[in-house]
Amino acid sequence: MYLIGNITLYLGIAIAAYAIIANIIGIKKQNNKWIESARGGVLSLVFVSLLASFLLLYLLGSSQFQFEYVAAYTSLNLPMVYKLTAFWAGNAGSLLLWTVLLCIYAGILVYSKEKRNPLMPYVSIILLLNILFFFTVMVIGGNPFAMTEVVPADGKGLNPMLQHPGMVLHPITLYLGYVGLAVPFAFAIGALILKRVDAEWIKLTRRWTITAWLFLTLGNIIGGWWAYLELGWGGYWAWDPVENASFLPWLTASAFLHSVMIQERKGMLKTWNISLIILSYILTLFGTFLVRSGVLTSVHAFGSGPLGTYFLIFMAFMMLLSIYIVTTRYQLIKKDSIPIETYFSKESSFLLNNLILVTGAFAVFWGSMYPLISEAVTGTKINVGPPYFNSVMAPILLLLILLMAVCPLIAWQKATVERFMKNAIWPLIAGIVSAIILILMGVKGAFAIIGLASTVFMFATHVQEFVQGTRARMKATKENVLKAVYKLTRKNQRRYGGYIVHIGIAIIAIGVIASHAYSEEVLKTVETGENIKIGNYDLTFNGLTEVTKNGNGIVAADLEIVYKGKDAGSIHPEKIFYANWEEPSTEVAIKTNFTEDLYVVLSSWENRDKVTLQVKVNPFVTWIWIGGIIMVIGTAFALIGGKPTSTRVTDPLRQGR
Amino acid sequence: MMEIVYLLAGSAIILTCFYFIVAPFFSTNRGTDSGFEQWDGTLTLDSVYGAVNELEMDYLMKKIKEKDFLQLKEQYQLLAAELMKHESKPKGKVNPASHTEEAELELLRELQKLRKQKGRI
Repeated sequence: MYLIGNITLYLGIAIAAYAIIANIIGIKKQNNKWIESARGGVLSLVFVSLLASFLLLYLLGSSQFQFEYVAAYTSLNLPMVYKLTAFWAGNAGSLLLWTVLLCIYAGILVYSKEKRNPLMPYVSIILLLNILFFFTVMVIGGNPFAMTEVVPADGKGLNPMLQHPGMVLHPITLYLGYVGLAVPFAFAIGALILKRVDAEWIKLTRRWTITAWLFLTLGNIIGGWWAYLELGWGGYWAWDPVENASFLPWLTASAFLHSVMIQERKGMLKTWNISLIILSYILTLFGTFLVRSGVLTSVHAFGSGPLGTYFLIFMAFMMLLSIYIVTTRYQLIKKDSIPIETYFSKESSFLLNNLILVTGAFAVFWGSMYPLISEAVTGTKINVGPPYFNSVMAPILLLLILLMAVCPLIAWQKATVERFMKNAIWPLIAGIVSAIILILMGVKGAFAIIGLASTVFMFATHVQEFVQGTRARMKATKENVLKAVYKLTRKNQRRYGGYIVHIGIAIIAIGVIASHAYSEEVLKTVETGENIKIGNYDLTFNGLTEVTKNGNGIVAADLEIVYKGKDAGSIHPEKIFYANWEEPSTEVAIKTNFTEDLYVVLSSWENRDKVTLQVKVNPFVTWIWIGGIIMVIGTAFALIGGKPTSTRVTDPLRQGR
Repeated sequence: MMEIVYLLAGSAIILTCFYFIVAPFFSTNRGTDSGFEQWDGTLTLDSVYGAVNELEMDYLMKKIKEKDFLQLKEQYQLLAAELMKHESKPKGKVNPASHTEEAELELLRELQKLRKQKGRI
């Protein structure tokens, strides 16, 4: 097993290096046999990486503790699902996961219908460089098939916090997003090398980019869901450096998804798009560097080690390579670029959206790196926590919501302020009315009310888009409502898929604003029979129980709930003490309804009849998960269909004008 | 015994990869022919009609003025006609006259549709 595992890794290095050289020879000699051979190399890489992955899964599943990785992350009593998902619990396994995904993506690409595209050997080289790096790093710094000196009787086990469905899905979705961004990056660099700066690379990678974005979105939302349920601090996003590292490429990829539409339709923002995709890709490497370097303190980090340095070197290499290629092609990109003609236009609003998203990314980056920057400059490490991020990001996200409210109302061509105002009136009224209703209901907090009203404005805009579009179609085609809605959305899946995503964001925004501004919290020590009152809830403590399950000691508080004067059952927050893990884990008890969560944490206890409980009422948190699901549905809808309108439609028109 | 099995399995993996890499050199395809397909980034009629549809929806949703809509639509129609002519040239085998006729017919159809809409809205 050791032999086969190591053969796959060393073979991976050799084949990746060979395939790069074969591609270069094929390009230089214009010889298809070399290119075909490189393609065979990619197929071999898919083969060896899958083999390595199945082998690791087998080792984990069969508890072969003679392997360091298996002994470090699994134990005999660990459920099989977590034994297998320990694949990505540590450095070596997560590197292998990244590698296998990268190989599969490269394999799909080089054997796709575009395999004869002249861009493909260049794309293949860029992806192979990544694959080569990952195989090399595994061999020199994170070998999943390394052996232990002494075979232990049992493994250390998996961190209890990672034994959760969220952690089964979160890393893999995030990696699918990270790796996915390497594809448009490779195409962009390939297109630049070939001096083909039109929208071809964007069109060829549209689905790849949306897929990567979809997985990044899913990864972030599942990560938030896991943190909310498992970490026990009452929130879902702590602005932790590693969380931020996954949020950064999401922000820049969101900007890229919007700005490519401008290049596809109007041939504008070419330099910007290339810069954005390079930035997004580099940020995925940066995120991986943060997780593995240990330079910043985070609950998610894999710890310190030389891996961070390797990633830093590779990141610097790819960044310098990209900068070199962009600067040598800059005049060419600039020559064909068309400047934005008018301030009030769809393209201007998209550019503004891009600037805000990139500003947001910079603010998050700055906050995440500030401890390092401050240490380098002043010698003292100054951490900036959630107050910084909340105060900086709240106005940025509010601006984004407002932009999402107005952007769909601006026409692609010949937009006029007068027409825009006519279309904006009803959504705007909906926003204002919602603000008045909130004030009349006694809701406090100006910023939260502005945020909620803006979200209603944005939501109403999108509903109006669907309604007006359906009406227009019914008028033009005499179709019935259902057929008109179906045809309208099917004919432009990209646009309406995007609108569904925006609606999902509106629902998430309501959840985020409400849960931040209106959550209530009580930290109280109670004795048996005593009550805790919070919001509409009345909790009675009935005592502490202690049981042993699967060798783990579980201490649980029994609390009776009365909601709005009616019996609402009971709730049992727990602390679990593990047989083979030092730290106990806090198991939060949550009672959810559509508008709020009752969130109870067992903080500590003196005896069976006296405990300290942290009780929170978090309004509208469920909406965040619902909004996330809607976002995923919208993205999938845009992904399945949605042919883009050609770039050059407008060019001849402009010339004729 | 098991070590020999692993050794054989390892050799089989190496040989499989070697086969994938070497096989293209022994295939009957001409090596010098790159076989690459060039990107056809030219404007298609489909994309023009797609743009016209979108324009029409923007107009029906009252996002653009009637005057602007008509002006842009006319430009698209001219573009479509030009495209039809252009598309007929390289094919050679197809009678170019039939394409011109087709373009004119299409234009007529579009104009008719436009007149109908003007009457309705």
